[in-house]
Amino acid sequence: MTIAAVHQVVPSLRPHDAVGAHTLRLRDLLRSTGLRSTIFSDDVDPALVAEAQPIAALPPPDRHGTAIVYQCSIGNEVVDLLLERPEPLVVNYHNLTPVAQLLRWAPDMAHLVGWGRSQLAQLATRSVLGIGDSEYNTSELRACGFTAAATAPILLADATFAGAPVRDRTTDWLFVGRIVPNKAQHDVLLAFAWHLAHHDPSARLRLVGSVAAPRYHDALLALIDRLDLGGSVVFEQALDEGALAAAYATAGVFVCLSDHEGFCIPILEALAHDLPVVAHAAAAVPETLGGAGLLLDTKDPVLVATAAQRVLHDATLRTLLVARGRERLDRFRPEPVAQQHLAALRSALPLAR
Amino acid sequence: MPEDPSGPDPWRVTLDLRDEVERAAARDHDLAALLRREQRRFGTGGDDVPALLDEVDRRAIVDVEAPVDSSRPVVPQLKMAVRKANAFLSRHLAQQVTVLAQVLATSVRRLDERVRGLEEATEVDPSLLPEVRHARRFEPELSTLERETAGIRRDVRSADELRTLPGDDAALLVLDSFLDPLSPTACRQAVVAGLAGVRPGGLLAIAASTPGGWIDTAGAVLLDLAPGRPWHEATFAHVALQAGATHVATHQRDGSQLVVLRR
Repeated sequence: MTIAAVHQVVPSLRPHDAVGAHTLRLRDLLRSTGLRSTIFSDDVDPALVAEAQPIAALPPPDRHGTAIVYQCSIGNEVVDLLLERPEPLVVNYHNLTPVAQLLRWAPDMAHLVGWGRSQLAQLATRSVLGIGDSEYNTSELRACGFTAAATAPILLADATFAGAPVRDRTTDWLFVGRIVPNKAQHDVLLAFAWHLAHHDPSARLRLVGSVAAPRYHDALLALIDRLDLGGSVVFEQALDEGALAAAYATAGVFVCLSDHEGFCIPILEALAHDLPVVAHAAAAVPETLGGAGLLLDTKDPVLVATAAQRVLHDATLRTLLVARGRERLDRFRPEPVAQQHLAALRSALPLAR
Repeated sequence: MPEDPSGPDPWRVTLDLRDEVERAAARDHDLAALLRREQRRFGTGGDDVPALLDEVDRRAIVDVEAPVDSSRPVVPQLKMAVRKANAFLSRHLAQQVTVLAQVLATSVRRLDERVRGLEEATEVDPSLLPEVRHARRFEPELSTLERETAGIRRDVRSADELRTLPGDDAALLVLDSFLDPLSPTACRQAVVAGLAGVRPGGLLAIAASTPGGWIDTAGAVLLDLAPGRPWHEATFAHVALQAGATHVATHQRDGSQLVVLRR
């Protein structure tokens, strides 16, 4: 008996969301091999309603001809349903932020990821395979009890690798990521305060990302006041693709001090725009960045600012990092990553194609 | 492609930045210390107790009005019906949880006030402190230790500086003069924190008054009101042993002492 349909279940499907975009691309990939594949979700952005069906529309249970891929990045009640269904289940794991990193500033979100972690352990007992989008994530799957686990990076669009034409580089610092405590924008602000005081009083920091933890955002604004950084820091919540590409193309350095990243697409976007990266070596960041940036083992503000200053003004180092960045990107291009996903699925499922 | 992809190893560059960072932080210690304090403040636990208690107060009020929105038809009405049917039970539970949370928050707030009172009682008026830098009197000995340990030397002149050490990699850490009036508990904590700031095998050098020298220099008001007084070298050795370190040597000169401990 072979499997002719691989459907996906995702807690929410939204545009401009890494997991949502990955889910759509995986659906297209599965269909391109001749498999039937539909996305099911009860929380779909109006712009994507044509791309998904509600959970209630899942086909009748089919143990032999169908498999289900669950896109896991948060706790969700749909897991209860999946645990009861008989189809072979694959968990595509995009990581859950450690509860402790959210508890103080975003307790509601902390509850959801805590719930997700307990669900992950339940899913381990029912799944034929776990796919982590980084080795870091895959090691968490194994620690959770997944006996079969593989790594396949998140599926990115070709456009991610095109990069906008580089314009006149500024000396701006840039970070792209939702405003949540685990992304540690506060550490970027602290390092930038040193940079402003000791390296470049006219420098600018752009923090691009939607506010997912309002209390943390408020605390960042208060910190900006205390450090008197007001005129030099810009928050930008919603940039369209063109504006985001322009931000990468004109910035001088990308500074990522996240305490936790399961993958970190913005690092790859920075590399695609020949933008050198200074990053804190936490979670999956070293794996994604490889040797293509300056990786710091502490987030001491003076060290971060000194590293960013070096990257901004050492032409030899910039050239090296840009070249390494381009090499690094090859590892994440759509075609080889698509083959990794198919190979992982075939290792656990008797796919028809 | 760039013309010359060869160049310095990024990892090597990162290591090389360390010395530059040390020098830079020393040039503007106040800003470096401020930024490191802010960094601690943003930690997952945070040390802003009143703000945390305000948050506990805010969240102690349990909201039983569960949202009923849904993008699917009929579901909001269904949710509303369930909410109404359970309202009496939800409110009963919520009232009890709210009362319990507020009692707990009030208890913690009172404990916090007591702790603050104790902390204020053990603070020393800085204007009363004698302007003595004991470490200066032992610079020859310290230079010798610095050469022997061949690594990073850090000089710490306040408890605040000690709390914001940039790392635990010092080969020689000097605690200079601020231990004299501390309470025994604060002094013990400072020694332990100092040892934690030293790499394994590194040295912690404590420059302080001798108990006899303190009587000569402190002045009557400080002698009477300070929560503590300088320790004998035997006391430092005792505390070092408890912390897993060893007492290496003590030098004494003109009412000052330099007690050297090895981690």
